[in-house]
Amino acid sequence: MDSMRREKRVKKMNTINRMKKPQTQQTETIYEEVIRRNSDMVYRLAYSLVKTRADADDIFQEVFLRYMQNAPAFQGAEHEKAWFLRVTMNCCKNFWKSPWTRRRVALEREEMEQGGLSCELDDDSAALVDAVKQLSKKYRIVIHLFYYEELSIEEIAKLTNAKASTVRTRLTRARRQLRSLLKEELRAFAE
Amino acid sequence: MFENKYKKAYDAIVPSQELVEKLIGQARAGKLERKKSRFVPKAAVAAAAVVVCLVTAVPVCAAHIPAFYRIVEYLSPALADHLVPVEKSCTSQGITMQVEAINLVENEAQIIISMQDAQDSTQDLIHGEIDLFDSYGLSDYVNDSVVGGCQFLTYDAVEGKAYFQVSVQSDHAYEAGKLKFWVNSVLCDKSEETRDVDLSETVYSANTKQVKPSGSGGLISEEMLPDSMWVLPATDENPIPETNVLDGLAAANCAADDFTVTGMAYMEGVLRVQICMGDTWKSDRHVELFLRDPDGNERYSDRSVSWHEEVGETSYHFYEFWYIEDIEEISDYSMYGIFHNAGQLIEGDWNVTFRLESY
Repeated sequence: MDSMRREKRVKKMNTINRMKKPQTQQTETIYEEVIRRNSDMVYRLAYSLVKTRADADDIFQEVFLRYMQNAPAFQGAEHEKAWFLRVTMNCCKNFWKSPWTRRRVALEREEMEQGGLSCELDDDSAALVDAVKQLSKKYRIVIHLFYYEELSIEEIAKLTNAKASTVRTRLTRARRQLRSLLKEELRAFAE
Repeated sequence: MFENKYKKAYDAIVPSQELVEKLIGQARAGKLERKKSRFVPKAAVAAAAVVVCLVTAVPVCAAHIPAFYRIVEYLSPALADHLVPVEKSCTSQGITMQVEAINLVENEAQIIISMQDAQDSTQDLIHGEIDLFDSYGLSDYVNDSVVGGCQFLTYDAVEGKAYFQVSVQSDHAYEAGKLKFWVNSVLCDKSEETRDVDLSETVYSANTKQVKPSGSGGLISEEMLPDSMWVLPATDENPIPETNVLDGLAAANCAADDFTVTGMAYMEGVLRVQICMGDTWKSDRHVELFLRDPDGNERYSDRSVSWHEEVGETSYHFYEFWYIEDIEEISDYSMYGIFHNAGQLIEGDWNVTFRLESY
């Protein structure tokens, strides 16, 4: 039959979940303030870990989606920062776990070579960012948290559920790898 | 110092203002949409020919995992594991087709494609389920696919993309390297409606006529039907086999763009329901009919046959559904149908060439 020539069909029903509506204008203002206060930090960490703007955009949205759905009550600025850093790392971990993502790595390399997805930076900065991208994930995390977010070894250890000694080792090895990747640029750093 | 260089480099990496404002806009509106994809189950009343669907709640957590991937992962984990991303696209008639991924083994391929309104298009053609109208194929410039099937996966409203899984088979193994996938037609604005079919018009004696079937099939073999309903074999005078169907409402009295019930009879222990689908050349109009017995059991037809009748330049497509049933009182039975229709057939030239390193 003509209708039988087609294989099984899937009927989709979409349901939309709405987050809890802010009860007051004040709540909406708080959300906005928190987003503006943490957006750059979340984005930078996401980008350093997933390496492309498109993926960083996705991680960024997912992090704030979780924030607005969970509406955590922060006990201070440090608690807030740590919460966002941890959730960003968790979202990145989910991203890496996907077999689809792993297989897209080859596609991304081709696009990056074509300059399709890389950010526009000056030459020195671009070279540094490219070098960091070549580090493994666990090294990129410690480098970014130590040098950009200025967290201590102990703070990084707590955030990444690792021992302080492990964090020190990763930092040392990451520096060594960056040195060889950046050569002259890092000579001053090594001294 | 390295620290200063690192900070300087990453100071320049910030989210776009548009992204931030969009997020804040959602926070102000007090809603954030997280989509759940669900599959609605349909009753699997017959193994061979009836649509079977699955039910699940598959949360799509982030757009970096394409919507189709979650669904393929659920339906066929083995396939999901072997899909190779392609992500090449082309645009025709205001619709962009993208070959998302492929799994190629010897002479068989499963291809995941998406269709969406082109970025600069003012049309709104792709906003739900669509159909590729069997107009697709895969070629390695030596072999072309000869048989295939297509399964609509999902429509992702966030991306505005309709996803399909296309399975094709060639006579010979595909050569790795340059491949071309094409689609020539897209059927948009598909809809389906469940409606009752009134059995009170069923007669117990009706004239029949012989037609040349364009298709037939069912769960039961022809031998289980009364002799009068067997396909008449081809003869020298009539080289095309024929079959007996109800001589119901003429095609000229049927709607060309809708369904018309043209006959209903219970004879020789078989309930026969005849429906005209109108002109299905550009619409893929079809119906699944279910008979409900006095105990509330529902079932699909045991066998069905289709044929065409021409009126001028319009070709009307007829179906007759046969149910072998011992009916004492027709009023104890009921019937309903899932009527599938579509709005617009778009003919275009979508073809994507891509390279596959190895498989």
